Amino acid sequence: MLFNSLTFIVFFAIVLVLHQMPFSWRTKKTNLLIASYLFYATWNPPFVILIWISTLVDWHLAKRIFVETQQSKRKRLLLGSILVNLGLLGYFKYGEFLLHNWQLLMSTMGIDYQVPEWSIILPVGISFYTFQTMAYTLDVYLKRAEPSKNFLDFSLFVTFFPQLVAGPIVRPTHLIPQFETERKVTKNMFIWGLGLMTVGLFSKIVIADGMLAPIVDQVYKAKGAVIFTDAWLGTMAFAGQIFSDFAGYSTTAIGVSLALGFSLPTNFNFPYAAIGFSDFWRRWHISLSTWLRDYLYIPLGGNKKGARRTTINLMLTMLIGGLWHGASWTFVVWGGLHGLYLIIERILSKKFKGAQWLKKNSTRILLALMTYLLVCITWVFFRAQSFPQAFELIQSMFGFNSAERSVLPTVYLIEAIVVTIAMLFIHWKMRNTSLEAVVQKTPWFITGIVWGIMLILIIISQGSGDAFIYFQF
Amino acid sequence: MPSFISNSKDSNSKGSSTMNSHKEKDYYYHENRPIPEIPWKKVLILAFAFMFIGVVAWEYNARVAWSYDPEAYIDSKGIWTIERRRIDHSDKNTVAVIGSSRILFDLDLNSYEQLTGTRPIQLALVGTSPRPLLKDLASDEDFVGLLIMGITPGNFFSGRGGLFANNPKYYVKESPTQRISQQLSMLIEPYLAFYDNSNWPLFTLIGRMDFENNVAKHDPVSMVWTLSEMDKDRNTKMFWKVEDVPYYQKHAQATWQNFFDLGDKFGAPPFDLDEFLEGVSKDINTIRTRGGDVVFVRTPSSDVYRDRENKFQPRDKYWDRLLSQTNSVGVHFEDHPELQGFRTPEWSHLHSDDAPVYTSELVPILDQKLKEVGKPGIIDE
Repeated sequence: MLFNSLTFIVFFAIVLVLHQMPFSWRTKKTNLLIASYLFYATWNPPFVILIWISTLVDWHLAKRIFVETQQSKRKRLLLGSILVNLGLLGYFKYGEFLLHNWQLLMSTMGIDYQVPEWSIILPVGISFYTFQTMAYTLDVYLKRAEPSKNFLDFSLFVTFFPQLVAGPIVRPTHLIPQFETERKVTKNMFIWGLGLMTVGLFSKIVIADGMLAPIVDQVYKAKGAVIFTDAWLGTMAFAGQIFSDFAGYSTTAIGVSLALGFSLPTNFNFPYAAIGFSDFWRRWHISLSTWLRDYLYIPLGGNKKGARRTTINLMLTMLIGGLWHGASWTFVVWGGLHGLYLIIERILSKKFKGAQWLKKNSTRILLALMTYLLVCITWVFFRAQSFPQAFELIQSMFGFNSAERSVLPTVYLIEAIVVTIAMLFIHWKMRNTSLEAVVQKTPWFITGIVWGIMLILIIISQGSGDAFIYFQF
Repeated sequence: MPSFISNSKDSNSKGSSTMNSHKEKDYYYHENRPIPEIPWKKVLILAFAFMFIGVVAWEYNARVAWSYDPEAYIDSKGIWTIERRRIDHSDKNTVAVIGSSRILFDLDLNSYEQLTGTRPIQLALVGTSPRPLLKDLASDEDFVGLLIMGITPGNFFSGRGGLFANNPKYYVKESPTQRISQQLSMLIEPYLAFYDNSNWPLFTLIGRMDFENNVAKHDPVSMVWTLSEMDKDRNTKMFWKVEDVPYYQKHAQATWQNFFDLGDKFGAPPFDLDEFLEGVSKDINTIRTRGGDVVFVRTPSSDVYRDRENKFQPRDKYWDRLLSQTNSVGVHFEDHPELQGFRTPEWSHLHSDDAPVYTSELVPILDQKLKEVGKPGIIDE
């Protein structure tokens, strides 16, 4: 169920009441597990079976890997886990994509291969929980951690409803220990949890859905080329939309968990204030970027095997990161562009290492703006439905299109400009601080009023309850 | 060099931790998230008090300043699906209605029920051709009743599905959470005037601010404002402001005019009438084969709307052919003086006071026409 749905309000109220009852910790955890399965089943009940498969396979294989001493057997067991997890992901998410590419390959060789009809529904959040369970087995294999001793704790780790379908992708070493001993929810923890939920839902409902989504749709659903300003503002609006949507989900998930007494990691840290792309990836979808770092980039050799290999590792990591987002070559190009940016940045950083002008505030602001604009270019490939559409927009953005077609009405132009400037300003001001630190410094009544205004805007901006963009990944 | 991808000691060290004791010092991880130390209880009370006042003020604005009636339901996919599910338990006495907004507004279910003893299942959808719904019902073995199909010429004879053509898919795929949310929403819809997806979300209202626009395609100012009010079973009537408030009525007319202008500018998409009617006939025959039937109703239109319909979908080439090719009974308002002279405030839909009268006139005509061709009527003798 969606956080921004009436069903969730009722569901969460029941979960909270049950969690506050004087039950044993084990009973409370069992309640949370059942609630988590229900939460997932309300999309499509049969898909709960996929989570059960993932849970059982990784629970048993990790245990066997841990006790096994022969490296070859450990490897085989790990391979078994990876095959099951990536097999499910591959079948449901990439099956059609692979078949179509196979057909293209065959046709280049003159073979007429007909793709069978593929009408498989993508299980919501499969990429998230697949990576989460794989981290568990990989941690045990890499001897970074021991397997959990309690099946209930492990099952809850795989299924914990606040972050099940769109992250943050939590590490077993972070979450499983929190299930082991009873966690008391303090009054302040509970209220701050509600506060974070409000911030997250405000971000999603008011900014992403209310203000920006119509602007983005107007530009990205236009037939034919659009003018320079519309192409840029539509893309900047998408930059804001995807951040507000995804960070909104993460913040709500963190708030929901906190209200239940659990701590989830921060997933976004004001990414549009990033100076450079490595900084951007330290601030954007942090739980994915660190997952890719720890379970892909480093096992590939990271930056320890020479400059050439580092470049290859970086590019490979980012290409796979792109493909993780969706079964389309446009996502691969999105990842590839980020890989390219990171490689260029690496070269330039070496060249200009220690340069004083880089430390000037004005230079830093310019570099942050440049980073933002270059990130916006990558978003075109992320949002466009096809390469021709993406290239058409890129042409418009660089003035190579003689289009005279304006699709954004004045009110949308104003909204896009206001939101973009406000977002960049807030991200820059928050670059070296946190929401918690700002709230701490703000007079309490201002916090109360701002919170109240956000609640009002959430209620009066009610729309059709659109799904979060990242659910499709 | 700062890099998110670095072989950090923490994350790459081996054998240094266990699942139970490991506390990785990742910069983004908080074992216990920091909680600002402020008087939270006061903050919470203030926030909720503020919210309460704000929402009450917004509701007051909707009810008093804008004169919206809270006693209406939102026309959503969910409410349509509730009605669509009734087909699953239907029988030969079931009457279902499909079409676009015209038959939705113009056919008053209360009057129909009064005359026939049967309350139709209202499945018509605004801005949507009945063609995909006909296909949907033809493929549903459960439907064996009478289908009343409202025809809005420009909308039906176009080959386009329209705004809610995917509703049948939604009906099949509706998730449990969507179903529950619909039920919960219907508990509060009749009590809040501002709770109305089509008219009251904040940014919909902001989009209607009167700015100078220079756009080729879409101007939110000229989008459709609320035109109707709906009951729990989708019995629908025209919204009183369209009838009584001149600027609101003019806006509705201007919206249609804007659509006409866009249609003239971009032209109609290719449409093959022969192929279209072949598909319609096939679906109708499928329904008839299992004991059901289909009838057509052409509801009134006026002024610019009617002129355009007569110009682009002349009756002899479209309506008459539809009836003959599908071998169906049809009621066209132009053929019956009793069905003429009703008010159409924005040229396309009947005034809320006229819809019940129109329905009361329509039902006996339809009944008689069915009986004339040897079919069972809709009014019991």
